[in-house]
Amino acid sequence: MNATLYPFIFTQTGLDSGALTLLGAIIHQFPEAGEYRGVSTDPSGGTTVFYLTVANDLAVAQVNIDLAALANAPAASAGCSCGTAADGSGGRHFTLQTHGYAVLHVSGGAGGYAVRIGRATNVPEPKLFDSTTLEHGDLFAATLLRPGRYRVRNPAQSGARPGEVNVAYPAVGATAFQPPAPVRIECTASGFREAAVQLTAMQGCIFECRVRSRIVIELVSALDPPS
Amino acid sequence: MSHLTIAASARAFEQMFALVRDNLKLSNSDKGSYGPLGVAITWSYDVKFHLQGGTLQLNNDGTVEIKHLDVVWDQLKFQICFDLPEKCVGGWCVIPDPRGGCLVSVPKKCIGGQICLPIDLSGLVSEIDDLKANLVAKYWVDPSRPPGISDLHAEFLGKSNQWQVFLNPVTVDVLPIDVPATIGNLIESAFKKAIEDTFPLLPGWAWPLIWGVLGPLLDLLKSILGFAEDLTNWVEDLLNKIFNLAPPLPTHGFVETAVSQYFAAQHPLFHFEDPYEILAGAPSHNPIPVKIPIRNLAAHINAQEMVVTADIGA
Repeated sequence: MNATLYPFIFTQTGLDSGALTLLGAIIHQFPEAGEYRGVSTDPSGGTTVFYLTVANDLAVAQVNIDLAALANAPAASAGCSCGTAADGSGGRHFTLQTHGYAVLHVSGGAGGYAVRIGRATNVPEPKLFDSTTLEHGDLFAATLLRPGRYRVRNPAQSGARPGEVNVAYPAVGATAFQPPAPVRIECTASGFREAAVQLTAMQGCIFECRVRSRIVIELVSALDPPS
Repeated sequence: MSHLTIAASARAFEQMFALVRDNLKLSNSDKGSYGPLGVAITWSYDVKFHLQGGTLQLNNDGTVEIKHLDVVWDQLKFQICFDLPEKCVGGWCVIPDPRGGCLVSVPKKCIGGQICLPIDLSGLVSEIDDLKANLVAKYWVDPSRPPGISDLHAEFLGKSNQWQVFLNPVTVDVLPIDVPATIGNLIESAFKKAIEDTFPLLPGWAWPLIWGVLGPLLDLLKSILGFAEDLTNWVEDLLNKIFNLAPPLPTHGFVETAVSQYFAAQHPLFHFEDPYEILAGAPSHNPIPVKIPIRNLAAHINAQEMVVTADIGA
């Protein structure tokens, strides 16, 4: 059994793209080659630095950056491709091809991580990515386990109307339940499209950011188990 | 010609056998593993049994044959442990690859755990179909008897030498264990409970989800354990394989071995001390008992009786 995963996976019913937990992931594309420096912040304020090399000559379309592993592993061994950054700064280092996607996720524990990424240079540079304010093109992938009615908000857009997601129990069948394909929801300045979505538990839900966004999903009313 | 001949009727022999049989209480425990399709499955058992019944027949070839001897399993506790296949959340595709497949997917979050199924078949009765034995006389010297002491001294110490006659099994034909058909339901319930016990902190709302994801438990169990047949047959086969009772050639199974060792070496049919007391000591006039040494003791069987012969000698 994955001890760091269980029981959080069943107790965290809400999700927040600005405070990543087990059942949420952010997908961010890196269209330009270069050296990037990321800072992951946990709820207690602790930070972990990691590096990402994006280059044309790499064949890595997706890199999974596990924020829980980064926070918990010794500096010399964390990350999925450890070594030193191109500038020799050392530490947690990932690689990705140009136009590839970084998937920020949490593999265990209570989570609550936020991530900022910018160019790794000797002079201060503006942040290119901030998970508390996702930008156009970013994706937030959420999995809802607990059946019930959820409200979805985008606090980064004051005029955005909240959306609704209803999650149903899977029907008991003659074979093991396989969740349907994920649904896609657009985050716009006025709200969510579709504004109301029906899901089955464990079914994926992808929020596509068309504007600056922070996706907050809150359980409004839980559904009683079928008798 | 022997100096001494004693005979015991078939009925008397039967009573002697019953005493020895009823004293038998054997236990055993063991563990092991096997792994169909690379899945590690471990088993363990803890058993106790005694013998009961049986019809006895003396033969002219010097053997006694006991048929339909019940093996009563006072305890037959059996456990199978295996890893529950991980069930995962996530893993679905976020960005499909236009050329086919998936470009970016969400990492999976999986939970699993080891499951142990306790199976209690205590009370089950199986059978030794045929036990054929001859008689063997052995001379026994108490290993704790001090060296060099006289037979009289040894008697005072309660450490006399003995003649012992054992039933020496030549064949022990143990039938495979027959598992009741209801075992399937018991195992399915045990499997469900084992899963529940593996995740004690799981909230109530999550269980319908878990059962839905796992699917029909019997199918899941069959796929984990790697069999397609009836669950009852599978348990029966496994038990008989572990106890080495599986046909067609059961050899040196633990029941056969344990029963053989018990009759042939642990509990004689009868025994008496050597030298044998023919006149007890009387404190008033003759405090020392009169005893005669027994030599060349042999025990035989024919269709009517057991005959024990011996010589008397120094």
